[in-house]
Amino acid sequence: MQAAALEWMFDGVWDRSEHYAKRPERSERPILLAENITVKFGEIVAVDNVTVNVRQGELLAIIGPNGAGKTSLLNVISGFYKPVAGRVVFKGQDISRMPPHKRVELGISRTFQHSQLFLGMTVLDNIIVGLFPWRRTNTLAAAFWLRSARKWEEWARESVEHVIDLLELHEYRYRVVGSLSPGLQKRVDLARALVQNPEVVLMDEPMAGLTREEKEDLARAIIEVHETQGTTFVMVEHDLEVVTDIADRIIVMDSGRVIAEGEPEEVVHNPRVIHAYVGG
Amino acid sequence: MPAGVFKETYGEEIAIFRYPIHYAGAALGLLFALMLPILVGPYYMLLAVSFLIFLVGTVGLNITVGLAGLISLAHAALMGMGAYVTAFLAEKGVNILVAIPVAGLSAAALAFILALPSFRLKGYYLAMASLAAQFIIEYIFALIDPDQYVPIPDEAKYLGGIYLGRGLPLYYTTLAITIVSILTAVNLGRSILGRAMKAVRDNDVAAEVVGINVYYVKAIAFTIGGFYAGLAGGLYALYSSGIGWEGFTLEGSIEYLGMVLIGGPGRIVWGSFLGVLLVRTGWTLLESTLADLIVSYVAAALKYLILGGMIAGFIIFEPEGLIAVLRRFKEYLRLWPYSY
Amino acid sequence: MVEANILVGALFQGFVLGLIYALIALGFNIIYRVSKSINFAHPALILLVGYVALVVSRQNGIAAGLIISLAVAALAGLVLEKSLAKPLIGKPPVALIGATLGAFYVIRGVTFIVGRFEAAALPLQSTYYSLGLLKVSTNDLVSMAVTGAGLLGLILLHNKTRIGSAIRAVAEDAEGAAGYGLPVSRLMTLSWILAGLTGALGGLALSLKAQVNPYLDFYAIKAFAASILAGLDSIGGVVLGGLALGLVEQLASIVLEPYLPGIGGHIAFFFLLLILLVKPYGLFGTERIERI
Repeated sequence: MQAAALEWMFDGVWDRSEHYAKRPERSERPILLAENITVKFGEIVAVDNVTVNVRQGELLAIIGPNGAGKTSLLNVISGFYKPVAGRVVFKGQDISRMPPHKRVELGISRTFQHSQLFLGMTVLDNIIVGLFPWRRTNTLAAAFWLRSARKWEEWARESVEHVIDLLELHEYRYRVVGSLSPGLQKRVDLARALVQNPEVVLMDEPMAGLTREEKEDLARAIIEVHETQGTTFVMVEHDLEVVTDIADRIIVMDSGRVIAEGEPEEVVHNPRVIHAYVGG
Repeated sequence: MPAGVFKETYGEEIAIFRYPIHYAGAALGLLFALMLPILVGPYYMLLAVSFLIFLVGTVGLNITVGLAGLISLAHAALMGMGAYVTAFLAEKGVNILVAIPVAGLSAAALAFILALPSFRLKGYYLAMASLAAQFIIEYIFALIDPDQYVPIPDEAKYLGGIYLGRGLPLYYTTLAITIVSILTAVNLGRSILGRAMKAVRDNDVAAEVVGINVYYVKAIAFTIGGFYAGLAGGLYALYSSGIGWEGFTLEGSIEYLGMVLIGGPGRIVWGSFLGVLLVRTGWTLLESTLADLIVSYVAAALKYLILGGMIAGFIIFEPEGLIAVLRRFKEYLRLWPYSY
Repeated sequence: MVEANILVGALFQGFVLGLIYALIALGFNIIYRVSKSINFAHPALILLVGYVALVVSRQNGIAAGLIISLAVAALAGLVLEKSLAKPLIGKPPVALIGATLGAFYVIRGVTFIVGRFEAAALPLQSTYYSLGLLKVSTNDLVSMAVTGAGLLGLILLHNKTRIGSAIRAVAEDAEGAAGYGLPVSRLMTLSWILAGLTGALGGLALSLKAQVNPYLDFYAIKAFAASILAGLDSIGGVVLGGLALGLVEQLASIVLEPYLPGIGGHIAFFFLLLILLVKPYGLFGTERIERI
């Protein structure tokens, strides 16, 4: 299974084998560490001294009521928000001061709660721009459509086709994204992240607004990537059913703090969690 | 997609000419462009030269505005930069065919420097910054060229004994440079860089978070626009015996913007083509007709009225520009008389 | 060394012009707050007001000229809102920038058909007084009074009245304000009319100060710099921004003119670029927090 997956991934890769380097095995080793993060908007403290440790190859879910600071935490990890305190470490490297696009290049991709696609472009182009950090053409080569530009286009297109296969987007390739249903837009969003062959995918409420069938499809795709490529997932999610089904570990946040952490079973029965969800 | 055409490689799918009709259209268009001097008299040929010059400039602005979504109000000033650099080099004895690309590069460098501070800002701040830049460059032109006339020496305009500054050689030189400009612009548009520009235009916040270096893309979009503006300025210097800065003022920049917005922002070739044809060439023809009919101040005021009205009208009713209107018309004809 | 009376005169002129810049800049900021875009039609409005005042007051006296030009400006604000700002709600701000640029040209065209590109002073008798080192004309005093009253009135309206606080709420968060039952659409229209009136007062003051001429809109474009220095979403800050611009202009034309002829008229743009470089959101503006 794994060998086959790696085979199709390497197939046709042009001069970019490191883009598809084999992942290390799953371990307790942290791949991503967000340490003592505090985020403030004016006087409001959105995230209050939170430390999250993401382990290599796990599927971590962050849950919590609205306004718990989950999305803000993701935004800090992807570099969109600057925290007032704390640091983010990725594979032993402090990336706190790195702009968002650099973090993507290092291997942290993300998807969004509300569609953040490029609405005027086709599905294909939306996914291809995800490969921008790995472009191997300069302006001049692009202007005269030199060999390097042509070759890159072919390589990129092949990479995109693999994700299109995985997420079953074939029939929508040339559709303009703005005309697609929210469920499909979420799939394109995930495709754009996966084409980057990330080590960590940050997902912000991937299941929100989907039908049951769409949720199952999406969960299957996530599990497939997770298992065949050893990709680490960090998922902010409301749907407890999905989370307990697929997550390896759950972190519960409330009012900007972590209130519980552990295996799905134990977390769901934790009285503080029940209180935050039901009583809060 | 026409039936009966199948693609076998990914390369074929993003080729410029994808269908037989594209080849046919391009061949006919090229033939028409080459034959134009035979078909029309010298006045219209000169009009065509001026059309081509502004087409090069508009194609550049269409990359900045249409693809990357950055409003630039300094395009005419950048064109002026190209024209003055060409004049300076020609004066120093450099051949004009060398001077023109250098003009493009220097305008590109100026564009890069100008907009550098505003890349961390939103689109409307860039509009302000470029407006300020337009006035500053105009001011500098006025300082270095108080008489509004810098001659372009004829000696610089020779290629192997042929004088390029007039008649057929002028037309074909301009046409050749225009064709190369258009092809490179199309290539840039379909490259990953062009797609990244569209992404920045559609959603710049998300673009950064999904891995696009937004500063870089904006900078390069503005710089490329500047390059084509400089090229157009260089061609303008080839076309005229002397240049003055009255052609490179804010009004010129607004006209450029109008040509992009009216013709079709984001449609680099045909949008620009229609925009220049309607705004620039159309007005030139209309003006000569109007001159006999109405008082000159009304004609001048009318230009503002028509251009401004069209810019605002297209943005509100047809933001994709004239090209979208034509496409709808084409669809209507294709389906006629059965409208579905 | 510069002579004292020249310096005093320049500072005074800078002060008067600075107030006018502030009033014009206020028009930009009012629009920016509700529509989140720059209103490029505003400079043309200043031009229109000048010519309407000129043409009408020649035939029907200065009072009629003032009243009709104010009415025309308010109407123009209304028309701009209904025809451009409203249809473009929800579109990227670049669309409204382009559309107002178009309106800039349309209003210019109308103005030039009405005013025939001529340059003339408003028919208002002006006399000069000497106050020590300073020579003051009545036109200066009137335009100071007009701008001062306009600025004070608008800032009070904005900060102290219920309409003002409603407009503030719309500027902060239009959807939220609608949720509280505020008539957002009408408040936006009102803001555009207010911006038109602001421009009208600024335009009248400018016409008194500098004659009616085809380049009046250039002053208004320079007022951008004041607007940016204050921060596009700041209301009170424009007074400081305008005065700073007026004084910088006058000082530049005294100090730098011998080396760079004409710099006084263009320093505003260097100033504008400098502010964008150093403090893009202005002295009193707020940096926007983006959400995804």
